[in-house]
Amino acid sequence: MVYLQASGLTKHYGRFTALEQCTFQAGQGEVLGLLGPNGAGKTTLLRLLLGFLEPSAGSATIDGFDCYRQTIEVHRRLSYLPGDPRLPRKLTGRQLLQFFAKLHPSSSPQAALKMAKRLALDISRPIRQMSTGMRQKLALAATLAPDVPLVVLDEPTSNLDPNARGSVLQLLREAKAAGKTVFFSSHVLSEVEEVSERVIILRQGRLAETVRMADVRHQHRIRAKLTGPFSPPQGALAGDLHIEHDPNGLMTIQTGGPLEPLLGWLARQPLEELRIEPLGLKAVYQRHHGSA
Amino acid sequence: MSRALWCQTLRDSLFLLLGCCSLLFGFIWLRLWIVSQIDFAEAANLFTKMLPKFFQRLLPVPIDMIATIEGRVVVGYEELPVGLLMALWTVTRGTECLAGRLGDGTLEMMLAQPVRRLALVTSHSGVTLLGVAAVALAAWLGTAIGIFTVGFDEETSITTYLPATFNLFSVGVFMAGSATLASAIAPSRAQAVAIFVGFYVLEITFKILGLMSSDLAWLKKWTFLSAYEPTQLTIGLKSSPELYWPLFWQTNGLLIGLGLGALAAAATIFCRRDVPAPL
Repeated sequence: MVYLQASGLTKHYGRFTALEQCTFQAGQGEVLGLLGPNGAGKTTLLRLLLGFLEPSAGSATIDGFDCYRQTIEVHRRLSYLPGDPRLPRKLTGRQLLQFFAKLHPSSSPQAALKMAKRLALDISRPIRQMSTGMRQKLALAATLAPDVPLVVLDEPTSNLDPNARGSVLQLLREAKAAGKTVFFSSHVLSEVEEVSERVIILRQGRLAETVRMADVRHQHRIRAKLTGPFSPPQGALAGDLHIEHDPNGLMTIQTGGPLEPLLGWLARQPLEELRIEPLGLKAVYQRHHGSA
Repeated sequence: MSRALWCQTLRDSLFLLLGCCSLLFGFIWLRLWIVSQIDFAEAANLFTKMLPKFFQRLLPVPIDMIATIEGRVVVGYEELPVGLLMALWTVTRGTECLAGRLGDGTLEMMLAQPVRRLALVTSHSGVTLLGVAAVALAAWLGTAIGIFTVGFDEETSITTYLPATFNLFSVGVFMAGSATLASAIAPSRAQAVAIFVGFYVLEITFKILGLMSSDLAWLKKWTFLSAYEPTQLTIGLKSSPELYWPLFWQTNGLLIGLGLGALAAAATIFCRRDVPAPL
């Protein structure tokens, strides 16, 4: 079931186009990653989904409600972590969590405090005395406390230490297990790869590619040195492989299919120094944005 | 939900509000004590002889009226600290309402809650208006306590100064509304303050020029400060109430109407505008 739908979503600022004709969807219970370099339009896309910006063209819906015209209904169904959460510095962590728990009908102070505990956060401190990472954790606790069907996170693990990053990724997995849809942006490809089922890649305000992680996980690159003439693959295997070799005998093979038939063929070739590695999201990202 | 917003907004502004109220209360009380130490009949004669004619035109009422007990008390409402403290409260709060909170990013997570943008403006502006009332009340309390404790040589009732207090409240509503409107238009708080200060300087220039030159008297119609006349209203309502009550309602109605209109315009702009990512 489609929970989040964007159709031809476009945003212009005068002559500058921040996002153009962006169409994608996310199903209920799906974790959808959002990738792109700085200025690719990630934050603009998230702000359009939240109804903070009026689309120049196109539309987006969440659970059938228009993101710009029905913001209250939309906001009842989601919680959002901004890319750079800035919190009122006069409050303590506890006061902030209690305040946001009162604002969202699907949240409660108990849930917020439980979340803070999971993130190992000292909520008795005033926010002005918290480090950037602690403030990020506090904002995360406020965001992840409401029991809502959609969680939208803009770079949730930025400023966090490795342990906290692990906790956040675990919380995202738990959200998915609970049937929630998660849409999050990140610059850390390994994180996106770890938890997402699909990833959308933006390039200069346009949706460059939608990637199914299951497909990416099947993709491998094989590097080897030829010690003699090799016999080209036959049948279905031939169509599945992309083979390059240089005059020095170095061969690179890319495959998006299962490894078993390929391994059988490889065993019959005159090869040495064979190395098989998963292609990963990095290679897909590099296709659009050069070296990542 | 909206109660949480109101309580939080009130808590955020309590320190500033208490500061403004106590300073104003203290200033008015202290000023009354100083005034009680001066022989105004003698001082008024001196001022009439010494002050140049063009300067006397800037006074809210003729010098002999300021020398009356009501004049001596109420002219304090026209002193610089009173205007400054009211401006401090209204401009700080008004410019913070939208440009301030959008600029520092603290509105970002609140906007993602199932709360109408209008509720965010009304809770903030509601507390600002309550504060305006509190600041005006502090001025009246300072006057009342001053009258009771200082001991003037003439009798005067503390209710005489309620119209001046209401006039101070009205000008506060106007300033709060215009500062909030500036914050809805401006992309940053600094620009909102600049817009408001520019507007205020222009208005005060209009008033001074309008008072000093009869050729430029028409300028007085283009400044909201012409509607802030606590001394004239207090003395006029005592001497000719049938003449001054219509003026009282007219000036205060204009200030409050324009102030609330500016608040409504600010809310409308904010509800429709794009909310950019904080810088």
